[in-house]
Amino acid sequence: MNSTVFFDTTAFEALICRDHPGHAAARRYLEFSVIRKTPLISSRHILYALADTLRRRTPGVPAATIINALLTSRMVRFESLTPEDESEAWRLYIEMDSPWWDFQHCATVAQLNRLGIRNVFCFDSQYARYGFKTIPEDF
Amino acid sequence: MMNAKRFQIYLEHTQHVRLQTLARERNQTMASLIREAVDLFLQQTDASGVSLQDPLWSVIGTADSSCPDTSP
Repeated sequence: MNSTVFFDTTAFEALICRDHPGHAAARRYLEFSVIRKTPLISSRHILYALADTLRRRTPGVPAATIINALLTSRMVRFESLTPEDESEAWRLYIEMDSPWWDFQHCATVAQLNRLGIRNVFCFDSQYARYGFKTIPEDF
Repeated sequence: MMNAKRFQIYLEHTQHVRLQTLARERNQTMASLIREAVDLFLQQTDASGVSLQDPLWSVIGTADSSCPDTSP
């Protein structure tokens, strides 16, 4: 079974924002995943969405500085969407036709399915509805 | 203890109870178990090639999200 864990935008947001309700749980999970040597992965489209979120919600904090720091991390590997991921994401977007499923979610699901990853580090209930195991479980 | 530095930490209730139980079972103090755990964490972190200087650690807790989301 693939033990890799995918970082969603909401996981990064929880780690970065000290007043996020999931901050302590996110930090604890990250520390344990380092101990367990869990392979951690995310995607560049997640980072760009994170940049948008930070720019809207945390004015005064330079989003670009944070994103650049994350891109140089060796703890999390950042993948890019393939053209096939984008096609599949668009197919899912049309198929789902739900206000809760934006293109970013569809792109992530397409990428997760291609990579065979079922574990998502997030604070977003949508992934569980799509059958992924969400982490941290105790949050 | 030589070169020891004292500081206060907060544990979650379940962590405290489990640590207390373990300390009793092993006939050790909770403080010595915490020191062991810190050593283990640092060793494993080093061994995994993940530096504590990794930029990811430096961005943790650097912002407040108290501003309302202004997205349309």
